[in-house]
Order: sequence, then C-alpha cells, then structure tokens
Amino acid sequence: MYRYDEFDAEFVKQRVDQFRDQVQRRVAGELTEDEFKPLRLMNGLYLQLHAYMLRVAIPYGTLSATQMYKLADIADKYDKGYGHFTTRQNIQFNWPKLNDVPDILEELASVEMHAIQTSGNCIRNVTTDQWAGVAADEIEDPRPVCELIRQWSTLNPEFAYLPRKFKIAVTGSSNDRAAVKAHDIGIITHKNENGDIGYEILIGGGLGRTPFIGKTVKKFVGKDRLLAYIEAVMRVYNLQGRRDNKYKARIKILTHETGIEKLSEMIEREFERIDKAQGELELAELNRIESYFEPPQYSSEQDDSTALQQSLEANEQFNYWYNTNVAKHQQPGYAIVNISLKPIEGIPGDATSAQMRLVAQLAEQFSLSEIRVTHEQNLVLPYVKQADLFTLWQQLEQHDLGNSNLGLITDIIACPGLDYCALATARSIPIAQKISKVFADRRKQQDIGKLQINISGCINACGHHHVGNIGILGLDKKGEEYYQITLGGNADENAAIGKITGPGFSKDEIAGAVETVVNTYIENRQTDENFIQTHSRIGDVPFKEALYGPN
Amino acid sequence: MALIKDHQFIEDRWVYYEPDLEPNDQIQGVIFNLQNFTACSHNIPQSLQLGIKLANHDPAAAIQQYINQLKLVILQFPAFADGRAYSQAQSLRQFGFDGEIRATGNVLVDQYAFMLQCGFTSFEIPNNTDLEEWKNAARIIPTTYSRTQAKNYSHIWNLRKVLSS
Amino acid sequence: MTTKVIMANDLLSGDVIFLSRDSRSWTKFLDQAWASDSEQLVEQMLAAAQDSHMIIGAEAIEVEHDHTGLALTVFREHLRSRGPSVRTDLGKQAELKQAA
Repeated sequence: MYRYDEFDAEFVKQRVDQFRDQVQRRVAGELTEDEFKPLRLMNGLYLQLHAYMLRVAIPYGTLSATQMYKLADIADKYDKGYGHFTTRQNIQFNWPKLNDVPDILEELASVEMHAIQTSGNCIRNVTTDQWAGVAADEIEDPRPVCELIRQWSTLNPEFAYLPRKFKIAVTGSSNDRAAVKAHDIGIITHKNENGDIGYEILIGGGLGRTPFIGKTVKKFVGKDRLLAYIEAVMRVYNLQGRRDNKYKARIKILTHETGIEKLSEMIEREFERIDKAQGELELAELNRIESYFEPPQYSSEQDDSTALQQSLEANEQFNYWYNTNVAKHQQPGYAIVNISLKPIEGIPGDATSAQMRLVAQLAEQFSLSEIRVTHEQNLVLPYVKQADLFTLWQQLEQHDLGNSNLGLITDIIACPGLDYCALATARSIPIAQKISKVFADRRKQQDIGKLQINISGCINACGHHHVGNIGILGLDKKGEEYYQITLGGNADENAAIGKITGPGFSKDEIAGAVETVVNTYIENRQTDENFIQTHSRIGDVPFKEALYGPN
Repeated sequence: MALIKDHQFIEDRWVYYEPDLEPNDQIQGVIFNLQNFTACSHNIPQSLQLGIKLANHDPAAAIQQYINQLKLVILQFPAFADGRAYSQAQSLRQFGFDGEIRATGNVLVDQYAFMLQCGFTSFEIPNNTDLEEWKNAARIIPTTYSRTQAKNYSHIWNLRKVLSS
Repeated sequence: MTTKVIMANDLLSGDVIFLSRDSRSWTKFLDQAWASDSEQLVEQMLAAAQDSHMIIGAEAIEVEHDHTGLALTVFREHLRSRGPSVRTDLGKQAELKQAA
C-alpha cells in the first residue's frame, strides 16, 4: 500500500498545527462559530445530535494493521471504545471533545492518516472497489489513480469552496463494486484495442433528494490527461454550479439543467486550455505511486487444498461462511476474506476497539498486514492463504465477527440516522436491527439469496436507499417516524434508482412490510432468479398489491 | 478598508471609472467593469493603467483578449464560502495574465493561503488587521499537491521529481 | 402559552446542555433546566446564550410538564437529551441510570 514520504508527513503535520491554532483561536473567542465551523468541517469535525463527531478518512478504503490498531487506541483513549465504518469507506468517532481533536489528528498523522476534507463543500475521500488489487476480474488496480486524486485534491486551493460537496469513485473492473454511477464523478477503467489503459468519465450521479445515475461525459482519457480532465470538470462546476439553493447545488443538478451535451462541450473547452505539459509531472507521480502497489510476494509453495476441502466437509458452519464471505482471488492459493460487521440485531458498521484490534492482529497474521473497508460497511482481509481460512474463521467466530451474511438480506447498509445524526428525520439502526431479526435464520437468508437492503434516516440518503434493491427512507410525519419503501434500486454496473412503492409504514410496521416484499419475491421467482432479477421481470405491481392490497 | 500585498499595507491608488474623471498624480489606474471597459477604456489618458472588476458570473475568458492591456483584475468573494473567484484567478494566470489580482469582499485570513496559491496578489481587508496573523497563515503549509501560482509555495510532485533525478 | 427551555451544545465537550435554573450556569440534565412561559424572558435568555462564545447552537425548545417534571415534546430533542436509543449504555441516559 501507499506510504507517506517526508513531504506527505510534513504536510499532514502542518495541517494538524494549523487546526490546533484554529481551535485555540475559537476557544479564546477570536473566531466566531460561524467562522470556525467551515474550518472544523474541513478537518472532519461535525457537531452531531449528542456531541462532536470526527470523521477520519480511510483513503480508498485501504488500512494497514498499524493504522487499525491506532484507530482502536483512539476509540479507547478519546472516545467510548468503538467506531462506525461508513458508506464512504471512512470511520467516525461519535464522542470526541473539541480540545482533544488536535491530539487525535496528531496521533492519526503518526500512522499516516488524516481527517482532511471528510466534510465541507470540497472534494471528499475518493472511494473504490474494496477488492482493488486482488479481484479476479480486474483490468487495473485502481488504487494508484485514487492516491493520485487524493493528493491532487488535498487542500487543492481552487476547489476548497465548491457549490457543494464532491465525491469521486474509481473502479478498475467492469463489475462495479464502487457504485461509481452514484458519484459526482465516476471513473471506469478500460483497456483499448491497442492495449492502453484509459478512463471513462461519468458525471452527475448522486443520491440525496434528487437522485440521478451518472452520465458518460468522456469515453476514454489517457493516464497523462486524467487529472486535467477532472480539473476541467471541477472548474466548470465551481463556476457554473448553483449557489442559490443548497439542494440544487450538486453537479447532478447542473448536469440535468444544462444537459450533458452542452456541459461536455464546456468541459472540453476548459480541458483543451489546460497545459498539456503538466501531464508529464502527473504521469511521473503516478508511476511513483504505482510502485507502492506492486503485487506482494505471494507464497510460491503449492497449496494443498485438501486440508481446506476437509474442513469444508467437516464443518457445516465454516462451509456456509466460506460460501458467503470468501471471494475469488487473482492469485491461485489465495482468497479474499470479507468480515461482516452486520451481526443479527447489531449496529451496521460499528466495531468495538477489541474487534478492531482483533482484525488488525488477524491482518498481521494472515493478510500481509492489510485491511480494506467496504462501502457496504464491512471489512476485508485481501491476502489470505486458502490454507489459513479455517484457522482464521475460528478466530473470527470467537469474537462475533464470523457473521456469514455477506451480500445477503441481513447485510444491511444503514446510516447512523436519528440516533446520532443532527440532520436525520428518523432512526435507521433500529429498523436494520428489526429486519435482521426477522431474517435471522441462516437457511432462510440463504434461500432468499443476494438482496441488498439500504436504509437512510433522511432524504440526504447517506444509507444510499435509492440504490438498494429494497430501499428504506425514514421520514418524520407530524412527530412520528415513518418509512417509505423503494424497490428495484441497484448500485453496480447496472445502476438504477429504486421507485417508491406507495405510502410509508410506521416503525412497527416496516419490518413486516419488508417481509411481505420478500415473500412476494419468493412466490414469484423462477429457478435461480435473485430478487432484483425477479423484480425487473415482474415489475412493481405484484409487490404493491402485496403491500397495499389490489389497487 | 485597507489593501495589502506581500502581507504589508500598501496604498491603493486605483479609482473606479467615472465619466468625468480628472486624472492626477495620485491616481495609478482606473477600474472598469466588463461592460464599461469596452465602451470607455479608450477615453482614459495613456498615463493611467487599466483594471477590470469581474463579476463572479463573468467568465475569465471574456477578458482574455485584453490581458496585455490590463494591470489589475479585481475578483470578488461575496461570501468566503463562495469559491468562484479561485477558478477565475487560476484561469487568468493560465491565460498568462501577470498583473495584480486583487481579492475583495469577505476576504479572511483562513483562506489567505488558498488565495495566494490561486494567483491573488493583493487583498482588501479591514484597516485594523494584525498582519502577523496573515503572514503566519501564508506560511503554515508551504507545500501543495496541486498547481500553485505563487512562487513561495512548492509543488510536492516537483520536489519529488527534483529529489529523484 | 408554551413553556420553553434553552438547549445548546457546550463548545468544549460538545455535550447537549440546558440553561440551569439559576439562569446563569448550564446543566446537562433537563430536570435542572431553567424553563419559562414568558416569551420575552425566553428571548432574553436565548439572546444571552447566543452571545456566549462557549455555547453553540442555542435554541429555545418547547417542553411540557408531566408527572416527572419537564419533558421534551419533540422526539428528536428527547433523543438529544438522553443519548442514542440503540446504545442505552451511552450518553446522558447512562449517567442518569447511574445516578438513580
């Protein structure tokens, strides 16, 4: 993975000093809250419902064991012993004190981490496929491009005060596990007929109160011009994006109102103006970064898969976990292990400091000290030898991390909702807990198969409900929480926005309503059809009838 | 309001255009807006320099053709969180404008370094400002990962290139 | 006529706080909060709170009197005054439980 050199280290340290000074000025009364707020936000510090919340960037979801240990220490020393992994591959601490935050940032800097631009109207943490560098279907490891964008966007002076926040995601595979079509800029890696790698650029995707799927604005841009193209998009957006209404300020609205063709002409004009010579510097930097992402020294000893086969046959639970949570690796003899942070009736994405330490230790022992965070709020050990799987699983089981539900109905994505968030209109977590209880039975989950439920506690859609196969949106109706259901959403390469079924349900009804939807799928499915396939074949009507009665 | 350049107060010897403007020794130049520049700038005595105050919605490209005649462009921050002027300044520098770019409006010390890096050279700020703070703010992070127009900021990728060669 | 309390966050700790009965200091607990029916008094207190640089996001929030004393009428504010409903071991609710 990428390691800081002295320039990165110094830069982040100076940023901590700067924030320490800003905090002191705020406490001394030299800065008003109105002046201080955007400064703290750009360092990831929010004021939430009960306390401050610090959002720490995990660039493109890659963490070292050392970094995970540090996160666990921070959780214990400055917070309440846990953290929350988010849909942007970040981690949030829910209870820091203002005066501690510079110290926390300093501790993070000591392990090459920061909280820069995890909030504010700027370019946010760039996200990617959690299996980057190990996925069997990959064209190129997307992390070097992500790191290039991370550096370029960090305190980029021109794009620090955009009309609204800006999210970029990159996929290196044609199977999109990074939801790139739901981002302000989505980047898809391609190889052309000459064997050259380049990038398709999509703009204007986004969820929130007006969801849009991103549109292709450039079919293929080479490595040396990628940043120039992104810069052109950003400049046009910075100048043209609406600033009169924060709900219409994202690039998706600009794209919608201007039209993709006209906007792409404007971007192209700006792109042509950008000095081509700068591409050389960018390419040199990209090459330097790429050297950090060379594939590791895989063990050359021939793995004997009989031991694994024996364990799989001998232990039904392990077998089940293997089939749901282990994915195919690029390298024969290795496996990608997905650790679900979705125990039945648990809080999606939460991990205790003890669990963080365990995962760090397992990463050291079994995964070349590397961990990934997924936008589904789970963790990944990307480099596990198949021969180690059984031992690894046993340890996960002992610490409540052996949940065998990856990609299944109880692997629910949920924002913190009204339990923590100042913007929320309803709670998300208790709904996730109720639903996971209803579907707790392992055989039932397996029978239902691949089904993504997403829950957001308000229209800002941090739980990405629009792209959930079943999406749930929590709202406030005269002081009562109620929940709308959307069906047919999809976050992958076939991205689609779900449609609202009809009137919402109370907090006591919603889990039952989800059960009705699932039963309707089971009654209507054909052999081997998963939920989304059945839904696209039969449409909304049978589901609506089941929920609300005929007509 | 006062004007600073290189973290020092300087005298502002520019005046806004008026039809009956009387030139004198104290006046360095005249500031137009985009509309009256094309109509009236030729009426100004040769001895006076020319400047333009761009609105945030004016594209920087609209004055590209006048860049060699201009010595000053004023860009506006209606609120510190409205960052359009950063892009306008970057564009002007990319067009090759090497005169003064002045920041006006809600110009605060916490955005000072960003403004410098985008090519701003002078700043309208309140009279009784402590310039020590501004000087510090300019220097606290002297490197950047993206294009910088100010020579006392170093592009980290350039530093790396130099180190490795 | 509605009764209101002044609710805010403490700058340093981030804690949700209420103006106390002495109408000068701040308390973490609603049962020690200053409350008033007088619109004018509420506005006066709110303005003073908003002037203090150690207090953020001060608001006047409606309460009602029930058998236990003051109660917040809006669910969101009720949660704010207690802590996350999914972690009853954390927040003020935990401190209240401990004190009881």
